[in-house]
Amino acid sequence: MTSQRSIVGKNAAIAGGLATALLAGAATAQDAITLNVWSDTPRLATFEAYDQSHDNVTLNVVTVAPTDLVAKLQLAMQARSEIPDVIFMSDIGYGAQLSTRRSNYLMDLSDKVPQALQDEFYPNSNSPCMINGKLLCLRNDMAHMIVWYNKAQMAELGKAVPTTWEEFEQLGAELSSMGYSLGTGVEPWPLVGYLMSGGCEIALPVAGKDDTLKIDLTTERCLKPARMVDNMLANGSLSKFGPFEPDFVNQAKTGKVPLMIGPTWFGEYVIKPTYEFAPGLLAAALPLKWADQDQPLTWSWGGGTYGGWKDTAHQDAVVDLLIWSSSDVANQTSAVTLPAHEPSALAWGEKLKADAYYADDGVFAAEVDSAAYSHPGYASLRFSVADAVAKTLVQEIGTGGKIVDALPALQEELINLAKLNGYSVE
Amino acid sequence: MSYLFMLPYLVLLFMFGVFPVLYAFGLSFFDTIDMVFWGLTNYEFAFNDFRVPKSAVNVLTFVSLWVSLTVLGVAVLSLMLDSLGRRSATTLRTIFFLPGAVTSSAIVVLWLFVLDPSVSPFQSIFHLVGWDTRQNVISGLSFAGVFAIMAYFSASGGWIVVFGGALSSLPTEVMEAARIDGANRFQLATRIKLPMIWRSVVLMAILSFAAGLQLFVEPQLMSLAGQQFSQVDWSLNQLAFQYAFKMGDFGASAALSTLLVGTSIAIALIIIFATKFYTID
Repeated sequence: MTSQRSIVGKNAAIAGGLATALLAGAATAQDAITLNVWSDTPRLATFEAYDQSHDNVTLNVVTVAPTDLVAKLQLAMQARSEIPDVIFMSDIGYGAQLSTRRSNYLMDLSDKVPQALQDEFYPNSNSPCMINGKLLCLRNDMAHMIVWYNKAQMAELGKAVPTTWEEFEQLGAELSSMGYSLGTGVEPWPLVGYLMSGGCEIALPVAGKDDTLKIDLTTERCLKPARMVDNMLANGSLSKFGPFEPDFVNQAKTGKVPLMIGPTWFGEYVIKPTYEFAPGLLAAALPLKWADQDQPLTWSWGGGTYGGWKDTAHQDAVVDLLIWSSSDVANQTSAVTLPAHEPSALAWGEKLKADAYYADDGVFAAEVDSAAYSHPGYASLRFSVADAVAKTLVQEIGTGGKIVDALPALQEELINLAKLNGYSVE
Repeated sequence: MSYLFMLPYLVLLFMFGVFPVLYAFGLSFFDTIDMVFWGLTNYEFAFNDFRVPKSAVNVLTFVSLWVSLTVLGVAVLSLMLDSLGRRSATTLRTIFFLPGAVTSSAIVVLWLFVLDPSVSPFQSIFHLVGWDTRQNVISGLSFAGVFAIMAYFSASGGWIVVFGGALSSLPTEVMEAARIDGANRFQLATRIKLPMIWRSVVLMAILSFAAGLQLFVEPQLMSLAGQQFSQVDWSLNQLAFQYAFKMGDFGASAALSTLLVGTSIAIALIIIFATKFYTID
């Protein structure tokens, strides 16, 4: 038995050795490069497609849980081994967090990605990648907030789709007595979105000044939206449950949420699978504006970016992969979310226009047309504004308070966080 | 010969206990990027972090709640179990132990459901006090209270088993003598058994205190319930994690961790000397 096993082992070793030799031969012949890639699950298809369509490059793709990415990179950099050449960042904050002295990972792409190509991305879509005037990543997908609504139900209720926040609040007041709500008022990013819509300055980078943030939550531009949220939470037209909590999901499933503000990916990834709207109902409209604004100013929630390692041995290959992943039209056409690269987005949208799930073919138009209104301050920061909002505003709501009263606490928290993370505050 | 038997433990203790502590202690005086000696700069950074005092208060609140809950709960339950028949006591002890056999991360997830008034088995109680959302429940119990309850249920079962052992090793002639003298079950528990197992109670308090200072999993996993519950810098250990794995500042992380372990050791020593823990009667 022992001798038999050792023979098998020997054969396997010989076969393995041969295979390695053959592979090595093939490698030198085609001058192949291997790039290590850390991806999330939805982006695996993109990297696989690149691997297959590029003979000279082999991708060694590892799936990393999105929330673990920065921690694992810190460990890899500290150990100075197994550092990936390319990463997909599912949180826009990662760009800033991975370009500090202590975690200096990201490659500066400013002069590596041609300006003409940069201009093909939607305006402001690369703002999470512009850090202190340098382009440190490329945006994969858009995530600005638009108005999602149940078209048939709105018609049945005899209500027009609001175009201003004043109309939105009014609609909420009219519908709340009948048990309807217009979305949730406790999820941090949408909360930030409401506040930002009026031009509130919640940790916005100051143009032309490195590492400088404008934080001022005392202006009417913040107080007005905050009062609206307070009013709507009080009369129930904004839910006190998060968008993924069972109570709100039930409310949405049973047709009690005829309209809500949500990012571009909400239709396909939340309203359709989780809220289970029946086909032919869901429609979308442009983001809301305040009556005294000329045009909407819409915040985003999500949107991933691709980044490369500044010390990679294969700089050109890395840049090529970053550009291809974010802007190859054929690849992005089959992407899961609205591409930030405009030509890709237009090709991608054909699918959406033809999708019978939506009530009309205007959903894609609403998503694309509103890209122009996306907030230029949707930037990458070294600290999490959402976590600060959860600690202050959301807890205030939990104890029955008003967010207007918690704005000073949020301001203090943000200023402290900004200073701790090396920002100057204006 | 006895040292030979201790060797595996000592090796593991050195590899995963002593060495990391010494390594962190050394690291806490360096800038980990350029590897230059920084003196107390890392400690200064931790002291100047506006979140550290708040987190320290959070953790101390949690520890005092949890340790009192554990000392009281475990002692009462163990003494009550000991007055039962052997068979039913063993069965109950096993049931109490079960939550402790589940990893604390899984327990947190379970508790997130228990705390949600829309799905919780304690729904009616929550509604009675007017808590309609999970946010209400958490605000009502306070984060320290929520974490203390979570930790109590995951850790107390193990201690109940330990106390079962301690109680069953008490000399039966003392118990019989007390019974003959007319002590009822309550007097037997409070006058005879409790004074005889107080060392186990002190040990439990010390170990719970040290473990409690390192609170990490419970607050860190709050965001599983949704981002509105996220508490990334609630405890000191979370801050140490943030320093290392968000900011890449392993030196500051080591400094804060050193302070934590120093506090644990100091307090354990105080308790040990104040209670003359190792003195043999």
